[in-house]
Amino acid sequence: MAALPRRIIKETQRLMQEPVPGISAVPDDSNARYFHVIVTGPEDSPFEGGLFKLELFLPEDYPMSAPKVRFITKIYHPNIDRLGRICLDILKDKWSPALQIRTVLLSIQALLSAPNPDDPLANDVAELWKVNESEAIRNAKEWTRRYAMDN
Amino acid sequence: MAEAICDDSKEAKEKGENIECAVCLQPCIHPAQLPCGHIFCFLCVKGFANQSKKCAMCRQEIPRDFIEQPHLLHAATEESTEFDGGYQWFYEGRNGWWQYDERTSKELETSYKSGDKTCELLIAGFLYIVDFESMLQLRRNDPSRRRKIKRDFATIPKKGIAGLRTEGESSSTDSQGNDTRPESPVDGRNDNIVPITPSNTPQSPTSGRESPHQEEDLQATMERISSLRLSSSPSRNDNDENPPGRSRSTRSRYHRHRSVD
Repeated sequence: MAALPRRIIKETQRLMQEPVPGISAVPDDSNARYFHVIVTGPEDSPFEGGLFKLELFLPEDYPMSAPKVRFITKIYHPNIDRLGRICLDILKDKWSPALQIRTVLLSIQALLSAPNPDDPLANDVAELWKVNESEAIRNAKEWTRRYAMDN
Repeated sequence: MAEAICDDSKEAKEKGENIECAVCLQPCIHPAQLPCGHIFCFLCVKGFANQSKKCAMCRQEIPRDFIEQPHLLHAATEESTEFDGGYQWFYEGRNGWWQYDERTSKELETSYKSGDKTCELLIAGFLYIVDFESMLQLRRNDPSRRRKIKRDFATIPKKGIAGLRTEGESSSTDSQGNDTRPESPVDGRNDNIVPITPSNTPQSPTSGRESPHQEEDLQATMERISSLRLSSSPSRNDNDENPPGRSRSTRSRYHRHRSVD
């Protein structure tokens, strides 16, 4: 395996030394560019109480290009599709090399608190979120209970 | 370097050296200040200037001529560490040799001393492979972009360091990562055959690889990282029926180092 860029080493060390509350990101034993992530559902959101697993991968030219991040735990959210792919600008055209694993995961946690059905990735979820928000929130809570608790 | 605006005051020097670059997370090498005030390594600016053309911190546009005429906190000097009492690493540019920046030089030296055949470098946002047998630097995703490299006495005539001129000429910069333009008839991107003349390699002392290297040991650092790991390592969700949303080829590349999948 090629030597790991110093930036990745430093980020990893800092993630371990000063973990972000509510977020854990641990590099895989056999691939230091692949992180096992757990994000807790934010308070006062339909995802509260849930533990969401994600995978995060740092591509070769990181930090010049964004990490690849995907939810592994099923989640009912207008900006996350059934494959766990996330619609978030900083993971695409708004990526900046000054962002880090830490800030990316905080942004994803913030996205759980602030769903944006006007920029949907999961169209059926976004549609329901717009026409019947309370039912959508009920679904989100139910999915959180079913997929993101006690496993 | 004649075109770069420099501030050689002591304060500016200390300022630059104490700043951690937000892109590489290391102390700034050749700190360059954008018009918005943010300071990064010159090569880090170059990396994101090539891509987004915006400041990595505030997204303010980077002037088009910034890489040609950077505002450096202090002039590029030759304070780099020399190896084995006088050797340095160089890459070939237009009409001459350029010294690598200090951090890249150390990585090259460490890898070379370990007896590696090749070494990977991330320079200004591009991944390069250095082949110590042919003494070439090739861009990983486009091996036709190549440069000769050499390990030679630090005192040889050179154009500058890491694309910043140290000799008096006023001309465009020629950075180690910037091989997007053909630079000379024999160094262009379509010139796949670079003659390897004997003068390219024997400048290194034969004892080079035997000398102990004192560089930071990445392996030790990695062991330190793994010892810092949280005790509970979450396993992947086995019930997940959906494959990751990436193409197969990309995925296999991402996971090539994983033992389980």
